[in-house]
Amino acid sequence: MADKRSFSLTDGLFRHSPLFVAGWCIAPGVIMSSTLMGAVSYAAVFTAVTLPTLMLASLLPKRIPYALRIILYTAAAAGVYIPVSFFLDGYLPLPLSALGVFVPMTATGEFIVSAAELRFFRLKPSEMYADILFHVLGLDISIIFLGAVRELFSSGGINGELYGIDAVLPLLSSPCGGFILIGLIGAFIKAVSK
Amino acid sequence: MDISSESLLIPILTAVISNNFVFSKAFGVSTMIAAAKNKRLLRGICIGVCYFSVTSSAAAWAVQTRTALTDSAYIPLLYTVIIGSLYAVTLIAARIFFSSKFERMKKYVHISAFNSVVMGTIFLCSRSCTGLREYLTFGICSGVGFSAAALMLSGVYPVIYSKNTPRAFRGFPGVMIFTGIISMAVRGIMGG
Repeated sequence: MADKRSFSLTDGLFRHSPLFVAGWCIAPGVIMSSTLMGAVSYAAVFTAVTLPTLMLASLLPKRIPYALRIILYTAAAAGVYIPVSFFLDGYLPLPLSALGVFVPMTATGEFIVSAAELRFFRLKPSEMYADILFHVLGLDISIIFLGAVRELFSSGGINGELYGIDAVLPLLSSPCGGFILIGLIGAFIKAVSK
Repeated sequence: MDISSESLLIPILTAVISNNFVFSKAFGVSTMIAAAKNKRLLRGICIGVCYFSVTSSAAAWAVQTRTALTDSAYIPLLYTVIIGSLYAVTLIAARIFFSSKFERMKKYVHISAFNSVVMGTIFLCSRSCTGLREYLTFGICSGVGFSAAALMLSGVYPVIYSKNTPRAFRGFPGVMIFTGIISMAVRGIMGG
């Protein structure tokens, strides 16, 4: 039976953007994207943890009960986080300790806990790996874009360098600014995509 | 004020702020959306989140007092094992004691266990709380805070998802804007 849903491998970049449309990883999307450097650091750790975890998780046999699979997925993510945090810390724009609880919480993020079972692992292997890659890339792009926009328009500059923007909106760097901006960008994507 | 009551004040204040976990830290927004869909889901998920935030806080206290791990790369694995064990034990208990309702209960158990409210609660309380009472207070407050947020969203959920709402704002974008407005109000109340 043909899949009724029009599917594109690049859905994760725009039409099914994890942050703006699907609503995955809202907490880091709102909190970590208040500055560009925070967003870049989070995106790097997120990619380094999520990609190998989903690759490992996809190898688990389906005959393992769902409840046990979920525990194994999160444990795998937390296990992958250990070497990632040792290797990446020091190479990121911000130290991991400055990123708060959101980075270690990647282990129980929507990508691993729900999207893996509800979307990725339902696809054929070739499509699945591309879909995972584009969704991870989509989240990275979204969060970095949001970080740049929020920092620029809340402080008038990025990373301490001012760009002569007079009309700044400090509220944009707070969680409420993050929520509203995600909502507005999500509405824009919904309006322009069929 | 003596030192003991002062040291108790900080975790209590943190726990009060965690009443607004959803609005101030964006924890559990997707779980809140899932809970707000209908009354049955709301009740089941809110009870589940309260249960897991309290039990996982108590378990985190038990582990924290017996290990030297405070802020290391192994912490997520430790907390994942705690939540995973509680999840498994809860499912087994539900199967034994509520066998007729087990099929309906297990989806609430899954949504309630693995989310950023429960994980965020144990991460934050392990950083600010010391005694069991503080851990439990933190867990209760975060669960109640999540329930209050989900209840608020359930009140406007039919409007946000109605056909009268412009298509672009219907659903998730509308929920985000609603959450942003409430978050702004909470910020105002807290004097931010």
